[in-house]
Parts: sequence; structure tokens; C-alpha cells
Amino acid sequence: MRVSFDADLISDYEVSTKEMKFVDRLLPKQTVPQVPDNITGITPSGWIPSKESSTSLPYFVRRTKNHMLPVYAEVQHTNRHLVRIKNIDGDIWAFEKDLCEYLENKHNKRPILSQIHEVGRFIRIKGQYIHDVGDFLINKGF
Amino acid sequence: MSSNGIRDRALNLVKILPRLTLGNLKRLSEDVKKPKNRRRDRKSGKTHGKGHKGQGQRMTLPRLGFEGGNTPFYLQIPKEPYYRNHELRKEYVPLSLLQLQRMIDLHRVDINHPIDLSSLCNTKLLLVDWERKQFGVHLTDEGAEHFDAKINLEVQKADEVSIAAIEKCGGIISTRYYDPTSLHAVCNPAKFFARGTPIPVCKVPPKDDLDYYCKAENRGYLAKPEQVLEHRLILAQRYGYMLKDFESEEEKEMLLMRKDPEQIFYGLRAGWVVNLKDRCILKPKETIHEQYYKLLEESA
Repeated sequence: MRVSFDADLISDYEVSTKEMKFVDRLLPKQTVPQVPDNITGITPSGWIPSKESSTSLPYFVRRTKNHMLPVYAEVQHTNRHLVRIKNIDGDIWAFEKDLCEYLENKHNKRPILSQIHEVGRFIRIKGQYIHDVGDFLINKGF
Repeated sequence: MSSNGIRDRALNLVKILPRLTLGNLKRLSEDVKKPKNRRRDRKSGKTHGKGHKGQGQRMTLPRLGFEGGNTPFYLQIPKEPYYRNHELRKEYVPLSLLQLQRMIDLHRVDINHPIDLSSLCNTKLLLVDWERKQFGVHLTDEGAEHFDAKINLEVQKADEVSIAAIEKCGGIISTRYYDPTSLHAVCNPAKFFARGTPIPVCKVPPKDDLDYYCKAENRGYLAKPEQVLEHRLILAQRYGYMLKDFESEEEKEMLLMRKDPEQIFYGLRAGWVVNLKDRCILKPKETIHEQYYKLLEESA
């Protein structure tokens, strides 16, 4: 690549601002857009907004920056399946108790193994319960 | 010649010469390690690193892979060429209709304007990396039954079911090819404009892809528009839905917006330079530039 600063080599050009609207459309948004106000109930893709009722509980689960539930499936040593729930505020012990009770009732009183990280504000649950955990959080209104 | 003249010449030379970058750095000649020369003098030991007697010392070892008369391993096992032509293969990032619908629901993409690879990459929810030979996105049919948006979409590959899902809602889909240089600009337009280089001309697809993009059933960008209309009807009959009409003039204009085959951004032509700092576009006026880009566009 040759870089030259010779003024004689700069050819004639035209300056236009008319097409800048097309350029503006091509620039990315600096922040993630806010949740649309007009959503009531479930959207076509299955996304549900968080409800007001969730604030009255002793605990609160924040959504991620992309407005999704902070629930993640983990696999350790190829066959140890875990579910991690992050962004838990408030009484994490009460949250864990409610969640395990919900899962035990749903799966015929099968014991649920869980791990609470009080400083890291997350919980891990043993087993492939990612959809059940999602249902629980949505029922609570998070 | 005076010392001043030499300094000027040296300065001019520095201006003209290519800049020193990580790409053109070279190692010093002293740094290159020479292979050890095993001489036959006393200093190199008794056997000079060759051991005692035999094939090793006399350099008559059998060839690599030879098993002393048995059929060697590399001939016993049939060849399984999984990686044949790996350097020519293309990769496409899968994008399901469910993911696309989620982006639309949460206003990550604007359905009031045509959606193309630039707007999908600008969400930062998917990454297209041409260094990994990724040539764009492949629209897959997961979530086709829940798809509900009238959009003008442009992807690189698409399934039949996903084409039907988009056309059922009244939308328009087309598949198109970007060559690596154009893809680099399309995947990160902000970075490309900041570089201050002219917008490139998109090249025609290579031989193995040309057929795909010329076919109307794939909604290829090189297919004839009459044939595309015909195939829209055929697909509607196959999947049992009615094609929708345009509701307003504005919507019709948006849905029928298409890029030229050599154009990579909507509303911007090849050869233009975008100046983000002063918010203006520089268009070359000289006939030599016009001829150059016209020639390239004609060949494309």
C-alpha cells in the first residue's frame, strides 16, 4: 500500500450530504433498545415482559441486558448437567426454597440438589430443569 | 550534494515507502538459527550423533511407514477424505426464524427498512467472521409456524420452509452473495466507513455458487424477476396460503427495495467515500474513476 501526501494526486470530487440518511441506518445502536411499551402478554417469539407483581416478593431476579431470563444450562464432564440462575437480589435462601419446592412438586417429590452462592448471587441446580426453572420465574413475574 | 538535499530525499522516500506494520516486520538475520552441522571431527564426538553400526549409521533406514514386508497401515485402512477441499468450503452462520422474530419483537432490527446482513450484524447478537470462511447467514426454519412480520429480508442462504414462512406473512426474501472484501465492509459498516476507503464493487459469485443465486426457487438475486413471481405462486400453492397485497404505497416502496448486484449498501454506490467526521460523502468526479467503476459494474 502506497501512502502519498502529494496534493497534485488528489483528483476532483463532489461533496454530498443527501445520502447520509442511508449511512445513519448502517451505524449500530450504541445501547440495547428499551423494552417496547406496547407489549401486552406473549409476543410471537414467546418473549414475555416482567410483571409489576414480582416486586412484592422478598427476592428479585433481574433480566439480562438483552431482556432475557438469566438462566443457563451447564454441562460438566460431558454428563453432569446443571442449571445456573444468576442476578438474584434479596433473600436468596427464600428463593432457593421456593424454587426447589416447585421442582419437587412437579417431578413427583424427587429430591432436588442445589448449591447457593450467596456472594456471587447465583444458584446452581443439578439436573436438566432449564425449562421448568424458566416457567417458575415467569409464573413469579420476573 | 549538500546534506540538506539528502535529508529532503530521505524524507520523500519515507513518505512514499510502505509504512512499517506488524504485517511486514522481518526477523534479523542473526536471529535465524542455523541447523546443527554434524561434522566428522573429534569435537562432534566418537559417533557424531549417529550411534553404533547398522542402518542408522549407514543411512540405509527403510522408508517412512514401511513395516518390514507387511501391508502398511496407511494402505490397509481405506481413505476417508472428510477434509477434502476444506480450503474452498464456505461456512454460513445459522439464523433461525425464531431468533429473527425475537430480534423484531425487541426492536433490535427495524422492520420499516429492508433488513440485510449489515442490520443483522449491527444487533451484535450474531457474529460473521470471514477469517473463519463464514460468508454470511443461513436462514433456518426453526420457529416458522410462529413467524409473524412483514419484512424485506436479504440473506445468503435460505430453506424452502423459511422462504414460505416469510412470503406467507406478505414479506419479500432474496438470497445474495458477498465476496470477502464486500463482506468485510457489510459486517461492520461503522468500522469500514471510519477507515475512509472507497465502497467496493461486489463481485459475481464463484462457479460453485453461481447456480444457486441464478435460481428463482432460491430467490437468488441474479434470477429473473418474472421467474421469481412465478415461483412465489408455486410455493404458495404447495404450502397452501394466499399471497398478500401491499397495504400502502410506502410499504410497497420499502418491500420492493432491491440492491443492484454490484451494490453492497442501500442508497450508496461503489467508489464513494463516507466521511463520518464531517458527515458528508465524497463522490469522485473524474472521468477516469467513473469509467473504472462503470467497467467493474458491467463486468459484475
